[in-house]
Amino acid sequence: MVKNKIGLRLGGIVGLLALFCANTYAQKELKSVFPEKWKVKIGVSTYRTNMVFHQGKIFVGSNGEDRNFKNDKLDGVYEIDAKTGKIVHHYEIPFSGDNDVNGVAIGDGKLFFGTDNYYFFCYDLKTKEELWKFHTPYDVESCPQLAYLNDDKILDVAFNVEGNSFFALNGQTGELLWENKEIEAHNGNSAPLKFDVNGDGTMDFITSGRGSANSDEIDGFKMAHYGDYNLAIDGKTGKTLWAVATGAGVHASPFIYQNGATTEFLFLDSYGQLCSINKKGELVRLVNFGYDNFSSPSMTKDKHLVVGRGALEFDDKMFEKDIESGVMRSKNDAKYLFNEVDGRISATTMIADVLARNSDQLIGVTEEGIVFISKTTGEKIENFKIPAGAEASLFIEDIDGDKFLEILISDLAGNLTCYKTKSKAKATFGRFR
Amino acid sequence: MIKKQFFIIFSIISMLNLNCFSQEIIKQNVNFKSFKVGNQWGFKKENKIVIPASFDYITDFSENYALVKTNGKWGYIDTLGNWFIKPSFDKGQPFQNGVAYVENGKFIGLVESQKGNFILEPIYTNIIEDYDSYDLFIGEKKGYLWKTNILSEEIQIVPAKYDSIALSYDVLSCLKEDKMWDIYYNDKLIITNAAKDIISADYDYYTKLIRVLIDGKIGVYDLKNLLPENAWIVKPSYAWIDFINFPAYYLQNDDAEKRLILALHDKNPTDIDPDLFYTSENDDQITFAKIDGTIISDKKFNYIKTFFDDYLEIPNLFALELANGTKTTYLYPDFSIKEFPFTTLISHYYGSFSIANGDNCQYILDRNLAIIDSFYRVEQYKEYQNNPNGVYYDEYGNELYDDIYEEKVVQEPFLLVFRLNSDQVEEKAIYQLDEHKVISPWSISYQENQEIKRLDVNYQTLYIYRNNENAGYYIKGMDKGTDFKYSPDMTVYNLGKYFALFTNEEFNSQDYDSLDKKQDLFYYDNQKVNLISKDYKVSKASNYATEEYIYDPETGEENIKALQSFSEEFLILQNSNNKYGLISNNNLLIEPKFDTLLQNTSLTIMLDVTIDSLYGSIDLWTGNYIKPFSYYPFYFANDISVNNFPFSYATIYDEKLNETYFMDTKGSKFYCRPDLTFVKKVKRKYGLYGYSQIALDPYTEKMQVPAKYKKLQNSFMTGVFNAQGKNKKWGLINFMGDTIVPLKYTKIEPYYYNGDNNFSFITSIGKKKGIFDIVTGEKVACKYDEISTGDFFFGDFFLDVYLTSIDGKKGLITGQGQTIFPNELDEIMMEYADYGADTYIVGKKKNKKIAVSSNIISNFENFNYTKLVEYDFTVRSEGFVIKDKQFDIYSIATNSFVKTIKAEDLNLKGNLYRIVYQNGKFGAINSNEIQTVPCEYDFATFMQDRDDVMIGYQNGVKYYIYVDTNERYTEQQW
Repeated sequence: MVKNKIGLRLGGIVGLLALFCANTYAQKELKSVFPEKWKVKIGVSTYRTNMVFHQGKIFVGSNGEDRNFKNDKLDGVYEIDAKTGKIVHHYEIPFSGDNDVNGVAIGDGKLFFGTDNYYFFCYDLKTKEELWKFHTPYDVESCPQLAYLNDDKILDVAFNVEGNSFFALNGQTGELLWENKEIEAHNGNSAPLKFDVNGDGTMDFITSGRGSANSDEIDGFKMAHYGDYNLAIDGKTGKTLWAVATGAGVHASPFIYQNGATTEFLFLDSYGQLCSINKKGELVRLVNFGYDNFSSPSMTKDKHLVVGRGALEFDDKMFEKDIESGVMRSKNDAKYLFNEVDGRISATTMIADVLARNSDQLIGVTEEGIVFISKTTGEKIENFKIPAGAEASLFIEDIDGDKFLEILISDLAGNLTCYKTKSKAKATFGRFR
Repeated sequence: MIKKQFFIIFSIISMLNLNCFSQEIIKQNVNFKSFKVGNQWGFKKENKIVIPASFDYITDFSENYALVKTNGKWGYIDTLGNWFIKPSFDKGQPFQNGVAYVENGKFIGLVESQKGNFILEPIYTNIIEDYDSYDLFIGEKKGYLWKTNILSEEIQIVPAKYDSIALSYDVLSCLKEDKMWDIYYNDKLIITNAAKDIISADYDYYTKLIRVLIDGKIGVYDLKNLLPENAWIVKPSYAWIDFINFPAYYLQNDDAEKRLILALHDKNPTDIDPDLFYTSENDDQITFAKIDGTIISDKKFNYIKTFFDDYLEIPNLFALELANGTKTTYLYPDFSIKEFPFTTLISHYYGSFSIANGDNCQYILDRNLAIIDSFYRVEQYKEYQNNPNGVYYDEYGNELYDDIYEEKVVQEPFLLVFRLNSDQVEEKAIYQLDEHKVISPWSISYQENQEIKRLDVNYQTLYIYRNNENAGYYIKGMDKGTDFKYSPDMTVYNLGKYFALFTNEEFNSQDYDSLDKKQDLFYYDNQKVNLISKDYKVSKASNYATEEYIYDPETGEENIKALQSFSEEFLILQNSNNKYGLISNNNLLIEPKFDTLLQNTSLTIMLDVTIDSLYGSIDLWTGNYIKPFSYYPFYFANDISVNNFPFSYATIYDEKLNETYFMDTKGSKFYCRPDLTFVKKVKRKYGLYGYSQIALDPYTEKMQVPAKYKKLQNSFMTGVFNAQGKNKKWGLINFMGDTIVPLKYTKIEPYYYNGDNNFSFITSIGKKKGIFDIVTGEKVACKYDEISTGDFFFGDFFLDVYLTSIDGKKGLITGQGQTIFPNELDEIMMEYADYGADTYIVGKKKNKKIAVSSNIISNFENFNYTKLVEYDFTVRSEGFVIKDKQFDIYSIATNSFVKTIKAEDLNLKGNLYRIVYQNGKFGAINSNEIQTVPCEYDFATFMQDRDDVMIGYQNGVKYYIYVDTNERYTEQQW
């Protein structure tokens, strides 16, 4: 009798274990935890795509049915009712060509965006009419930035053009304010930041680009310098304030890290070297990650640097100064932990308490269709399946006024889906731009 | 009336003005700004309206045209506001790169900006643009358009009528509804009703041959042939055809004929291994053909086998084993088919040699499969080598990362060979493959652990072979290797031209890295071994560190303190009197005579030596020896340079003379630093003076070199002065008065070699020039009217050669003054092998040309100018000699005859153009048989990999000609 009980108990335990294991390995769907609120077809997006929430609407650019299609009917910008997911307006470019849109900006009642059809546009949000357009020498791939660049009280716009200059235009008329040709935008993928670097009261722009290589030496498996730079551009004049060479092309976008009183700009190049540069353009620290980084860095409140699926301890005490160069380098015992989720990650990982645990989590998405949620230290909490992979970064904010956060995912099947959460927290870093 | 006249006059004037400014406006269309009136758009320029607001929508001007919309339709206007393309589209795109998409309803087309014509009519439901092409769709049907000729009138569209399209390099296979394939090449339909598509395996890109299946039979089609009826190299009549890369690449010599052969199968082979091309033995009959379809042999075979190179681990096809029934024969690189006496064969090391099995022996074969030697048995030598990439596990399953050694074949030119001695016991020896001889004594082969060590001595390989008990050695130049009479200890010291071996009698110590045992010291030069001494103990400086034991009273222990180690490598010698000597890296031998030999602490190239407690020094680089005289070792400063060389000096205090002075590494004394030495005139003569920098008496002017020169001038080098002697001749002296360039020249000028300073000067005696090198001396005697460097280079390096001239005739000499080309040429220049790295030095002599590879310098000892062939033309790496209506072709690199070819066959076929030979001259025609380059060239061929560019010779001048436009450039312009 005793033996039988034991046998039953053991059998039960084993059975439960088996069930648990089965559930663990079968990927849960995201909507099982975060119910789907609405879904709308808008076309595909890229890791350069951002979403803007403005007056109850979501604005997002589209690369159409297929990124390779010219004359794609889905190209343009979508204005979507945040509560219902209905398309309020589709800003379509009136003429043919490759009208893919990635980054958008909204300000002063206007919508600003560039296309792959060599044009930058400004539309009136009320009338939906085109206010002006500016002919660019090539594609506009990344997000524009809005700032007051002179004394005319007009909100101006600045952006980079692939393989070409960095432009600043009058926000009202589209006239050229200045053009920085010193360092080209390389692929133009890096979405610029705005910050008053030189303290003159006018916003300046932090971006990356490609100029001339400063060396023809070889550094290990690659050239010491291909010509890429992280740079700051004076918002008033368009002149380069400083440019710091980086060893490889930059596709990721910069991030501002406020380290106490010190401001550091974080850049990540495609060979995986992260550097931080201070306002004076001095290299402060260097950390090496892996190849092919399109995902931009971000920083948690507890000082973990987040890139893709991993997080690195980034407190100053985890750095030591290199005697020769004076640059801080991450100590060997600085922990780098990561979620083992498979698949390529191009989206920037967001930071928000989506699980309503009174502490932040990292939340990101892979191109293979997994949403991963991790601790801020990088360790996995849970991974979920979604219908299609995504390159675009998630958007996390309360968009319908119900005080709970929503998660927006623009995927590679061309859908924009809104998921509900039970969290009333405010996102620490909930939008790409 | 007046108003009307005024209006007419004004209109005329306005029109005239517009016409005058039109060209300017077109150039400045970027300055057009849009403006709006109501809901209509127009353009202004410099704030003036140039195109009235009459459009519903406009874009900026792009490539001289603006896309505009009016009355619901889109069109294009020019900068004058005239219609370039009238509004007829539902949508359009601004011009980009000469084209623009246009839409009508659901259909898309493409227009061009040159004339406004359609490239693609708007009949397509989709157009997907790729880097160099467009995919065209009409519903589910597909078509294709290459971008290459998109703007030309010869554009050819692959119609959108196919179910699917596949591209293999530049060949397009299009699937029809009836499941047959149309094949396109460069947008031309070349084959229809093929049974399958052309995949990469069917296409030899280099020879431009494709394998095509039609009506169940395979044929081979030559894409280069513009006339389809002539393009079948092999008509579709075989069950299968192999493309076999043959022979091995290193035998091909860039000869396209020797890259591929065709194996024509009567039956489908049942067993195809793409690596081995092995077919099973069925009744398949295989014939072999060259790439022009010529059958190599009437014999048929049912079996092909390749040889495998064990080093490359790929098939190495320098011969094919063929079976004809029961007989095995081989196809050789020269396309002959011969029987083969071997049963098996494996080639090694890029096919440089092979080991083949015979009936009772093994053969060593060269790369052409000729027998070099035969032995009872032949083996490759193996030894344990460190494999840092290897992964091994210990007995606990832990990975071992360090010190992974595994047995590997040594890929060097020697083998182990075996024989049976008179007692039928196997013996082994070492066989040197380059010299084709046994180099070691024979020894019983079952003795284990025979090792072969190889060292470089004076650029030759020193072989040390050992067994358990003893060792011997061989180096090139010896008739045979020594007997086993040396210590089996494999520590051999070698440096430069010297090597030392432990003799057997002295081997009795475990500590073989110190100076414990005598060695035989040899000197090797000109392939001769000379015994220098049997009495020295030898050690490498890097192995030798002096140390002393220091007693620590606190701990009671003796601690080793390393006193010194040597920075430079050299050999330390010690004789039986415990005196030290050395052999430096540059083969300088200093016999043992020193009590101590120590590293100088201030300068790594200096050694401190002592005799009877007095210090002297030796310069390891130059061998300069300062006889010991000082109580202290010298401290050398190294902060200045003389003659562009770093200059080291020590400060010496002579107690006896109470004098302080400087001393260089030769021991020469001087008082003033060379950078502070100056020219001073004393009684109409010139000498060198300086302010002494010696601490005790600074600012005192000291004479360095007595005033005995007629003139002295600063040169461009610190510490070197132009000096004119009594004979009014010039030379160079240094700040210590040493003559660097003898005073015998009428002029000396610095010679800037490719913009860098070097150590050469152009010297003149009268009007004749030469070159003097301050390091090596007079390297070119003063016998030329002119000397200069040309831009001659090989790879990334400029060649050390000089162009010379005597009586207007050009010659070429090496940097050492050796004659490459004597002064009998009219011109000497560099020519390039089109896009290759090869460069050639070409000399023109009347109407003839001689040429050598610019690699000549590295092989100069084998060069013979008188044997150079005189060519009529040189193209790439080939020289051509006209012979009646044929050309003899030579390889410039080897100065050897390759073949004879008829003028008509001289590489005439390009993709779209053809070189033709008419009435003794060459020209070019296009695919429509229209002459694009007139037949006016004495010689012509296509540029390598560029069949749009023809190289032609006209009246001895070489031109590069674009065959479509007949634009031409000389070599220099090109």
